[in-house]
Amino acid sequence: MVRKLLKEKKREEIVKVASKLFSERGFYNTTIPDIAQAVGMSVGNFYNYFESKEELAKYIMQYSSSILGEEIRKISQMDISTKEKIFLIVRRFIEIAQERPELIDYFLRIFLSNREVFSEGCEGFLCVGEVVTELMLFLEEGARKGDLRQQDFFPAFVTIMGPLGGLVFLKGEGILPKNPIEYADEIGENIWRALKSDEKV
Amino acid sequence: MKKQISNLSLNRVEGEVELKLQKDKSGVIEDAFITAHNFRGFEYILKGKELLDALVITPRICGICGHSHLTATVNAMENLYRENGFNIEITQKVKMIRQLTQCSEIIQNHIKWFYLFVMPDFLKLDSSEKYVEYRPFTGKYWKNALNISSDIVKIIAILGGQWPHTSYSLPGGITSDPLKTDLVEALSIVDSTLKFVESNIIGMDVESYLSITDYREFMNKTSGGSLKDFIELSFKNGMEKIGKSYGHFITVSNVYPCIQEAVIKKKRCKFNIKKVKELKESSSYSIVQPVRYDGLPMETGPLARRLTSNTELFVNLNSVFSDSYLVRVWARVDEIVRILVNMKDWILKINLSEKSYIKPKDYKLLSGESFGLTEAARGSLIHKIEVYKGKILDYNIITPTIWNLGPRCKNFKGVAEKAIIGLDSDLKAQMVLRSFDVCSVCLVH
Amino acid sequence: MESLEIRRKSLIWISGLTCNGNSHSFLSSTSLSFNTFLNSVNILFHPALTYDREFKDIYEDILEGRLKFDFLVVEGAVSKEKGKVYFQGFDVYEILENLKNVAEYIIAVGNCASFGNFPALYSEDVVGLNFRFDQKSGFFDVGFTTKSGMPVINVSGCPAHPEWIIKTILSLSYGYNLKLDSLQRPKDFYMYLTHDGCTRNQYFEWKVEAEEFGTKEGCLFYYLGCRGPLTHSTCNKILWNDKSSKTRAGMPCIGCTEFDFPLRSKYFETKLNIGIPEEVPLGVSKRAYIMLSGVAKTFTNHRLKGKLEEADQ
Repeated sequence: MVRKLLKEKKREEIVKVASKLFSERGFYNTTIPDIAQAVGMSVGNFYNYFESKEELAKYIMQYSSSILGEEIRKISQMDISTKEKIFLIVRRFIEIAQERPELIDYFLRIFLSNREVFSEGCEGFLCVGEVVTELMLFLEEGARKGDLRQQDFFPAFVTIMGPLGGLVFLKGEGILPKNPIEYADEIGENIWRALKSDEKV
Repeated sequence: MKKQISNLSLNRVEGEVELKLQKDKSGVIEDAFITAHNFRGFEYILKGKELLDALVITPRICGICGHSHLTATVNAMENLYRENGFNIEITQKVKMIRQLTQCSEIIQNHIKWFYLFVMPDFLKLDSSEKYVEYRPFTGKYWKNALNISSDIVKIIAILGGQWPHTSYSLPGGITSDPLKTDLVEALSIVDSTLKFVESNIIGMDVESYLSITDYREFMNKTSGGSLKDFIELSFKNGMEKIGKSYGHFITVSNVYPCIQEAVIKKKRCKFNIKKVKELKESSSYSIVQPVRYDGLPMETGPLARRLTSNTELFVNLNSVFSDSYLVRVWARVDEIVRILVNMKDWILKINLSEKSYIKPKDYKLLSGESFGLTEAARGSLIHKIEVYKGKILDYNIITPTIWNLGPRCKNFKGVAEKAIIGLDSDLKAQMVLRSFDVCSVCLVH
Repeated sequence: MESLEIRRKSLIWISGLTCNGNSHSFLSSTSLSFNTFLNSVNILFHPALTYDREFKDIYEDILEGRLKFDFLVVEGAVSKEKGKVYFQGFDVYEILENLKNVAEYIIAVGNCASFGNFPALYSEDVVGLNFRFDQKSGFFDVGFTTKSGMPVINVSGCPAHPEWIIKTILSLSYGYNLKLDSLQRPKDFYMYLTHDGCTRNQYFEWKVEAEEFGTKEGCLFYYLGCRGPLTHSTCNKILWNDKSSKTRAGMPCIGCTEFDFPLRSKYFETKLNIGIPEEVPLGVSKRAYIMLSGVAKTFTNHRLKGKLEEADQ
């Protein structure tokens, strides 16, 4: 049991280090020895955790997706209004981006840019299934209750993810005057207004 | 002897119907009142529903002619599209398949009605061993009839999923996309049903039967079978003289090439939907409102269809025996042959490469009124819908049974009521009523 | 001592508010089934079949104790009020009251007799024998059982499949104990889903959706309203008219064996919220369904991509 937990912890450490290295140097310019060295482990030992660099790359995506998915799930299950949930999702997303910037950077700079790495076993929603599933459930419930306007899933999906991605990008480029979290409520309000049903104020 | 009143509850009809007979001192029926119970309120249930819900609801008005209700509903909806200025395209393939399945239902009905409802009446008039095969449960004819009626509806299952109560037809087409082998199966069912008709009913091949122009010719040519038995029993019991009504007939739509729409009053004229009126008069004994055409009561159904279609045999039968029990029943049996013989053609004309369904515009864009007409087993069926933005405001249904069995108005008795007056036996009154193929579930719906 | 001789069981079929669709379904069974039925069960009265005796005479014989019978089959909804629904000139209310303790079994055939169905939409007093939709406020009191100890057995469906009717009655007459579900339907038929055996199952598995009617290809669940994965029936196991089923003919299952059949609307479209189905197949969570379908959608089953006739795999 302890052994298993330790292994989990090590995997997390590898993810943290590797996502940072990937984001900084690019996928192809980062080697397994680089990662092993940065974590402080032997290359041989690295292979006890991941079979290949590609496997690691996919795992990082699944890992990030499960963290974010878990947060959305918690918020979805809260006994608060759909509007409040949207505000909270935005806030948590920005917080996670600040707590774990390497994961968001990784998404923007590796996952979206090096699609060939993810073409097998990670295509479509396979590695980001949890985030997508939780957002589907959240949106479905909101529309079922009459809070959100009926529409196709994808426009609604990008209405939520678009502003968040944009904000993280601006932050990454260093051109955001204020701390991202200070924009949370305004972005939340924008998303809510875009998605809410016509009857809602 | 005092005047008597008989109240008869009929079995071997569709649904619950009561016949009240008022007789004079000698037992002759002076007046007849047809009362149907068990109102279910379908027209009320449909109010406020989404337009397309009617595709599921109206077939459930009747377990034996549900497909006809489906067709009337679909026709009304497709007409509403046209009324709203939308083009709605129905392929030839869809037209053929819809007609084929609806006609399968009609044949099922006629075979069941003749063997299960009509012939057993004669067993009460003639208990000789000669007719033992018509006995319910044990008789060979009775059993064969049930088999064949369940065979013919397999065509509906093959093309529309199931019978009773499919809703496979909808505005724009049908849900199914049959295989060639499905059509082959339908063809073989038609063939075996034709064989049954030739050997069990008409006693000759179909071509010979269709060339017959009067009843003597039929009796000379037939090698025997149920139609001959029926005709002999009818003459023996004077059924060619009774059961006559107004001699007005209505057929509201065409089934090419075997059924032609027309109205016969004194003479034959074109049908005009504007002349159909459900009277607001209510009678003390019936919850049904009488329906009239141009103010007149009309008989609808196979006999009407033979006359409006100018079929020589029936024009002749009608001129000799007029609209008597004999002719009315014969016309229904005859229709089995005339439809079946065309079904094969229809199947062979189906071009499977055509589309089964062409999606029309959203039904929520539809408002206004329209009619859906069709020929059901028992005659002309009319659905009228009133719709606002895809919701049903009003749904009005005039079934064949309302034409035939509906109550009197201040000027005229009902068609079946008139046909019963003057008879001197309860059994014959019931037989005449059954000759209209009673469906009280459609009557009150 | 009771006689060990196996008596041919007898049956009386009555109807209330009905379209007679269950009778016609019953009459459309295969000749093998129907003949077996006739050999095993003596139909004392059926409004479309019997000719030698009137219902009133049979009814009188029963009331006077001269005639016993085993199965009371009821087709159609009934009323909790007297004088509303008639059968052969008698108030169905009274027939049911008088026969409820005489019959060994009472069988509600079809959705009207089971749950009230469409006729119950018109009037508050119109009910099924034990249920009004999902409420146990039918004609008989909660907990009512017949002489056999069984409650009313619901053979639901609009109409019920002939084999469900025939095999339910035959099973009981052979002495089998039928296990019932919570809506009092025989598990032998109603533990299955309409989905089971559907020829479009592969399309469901790989999430290849039909977006329009009139094709052999595609699953009808996601867009076209099919209730197959939510409806208890053997429509795709025991075929209709020995040939097919609605879904096989491209028609969505409309859920006609369930109590809520007349309460639903828009039978030809799936209720979606922001593109996600409001209801998912029975037995799985929405989360599980969405995850699984997301995965399935990611992959392409090349056999199911185009017209089935053109597939070369």
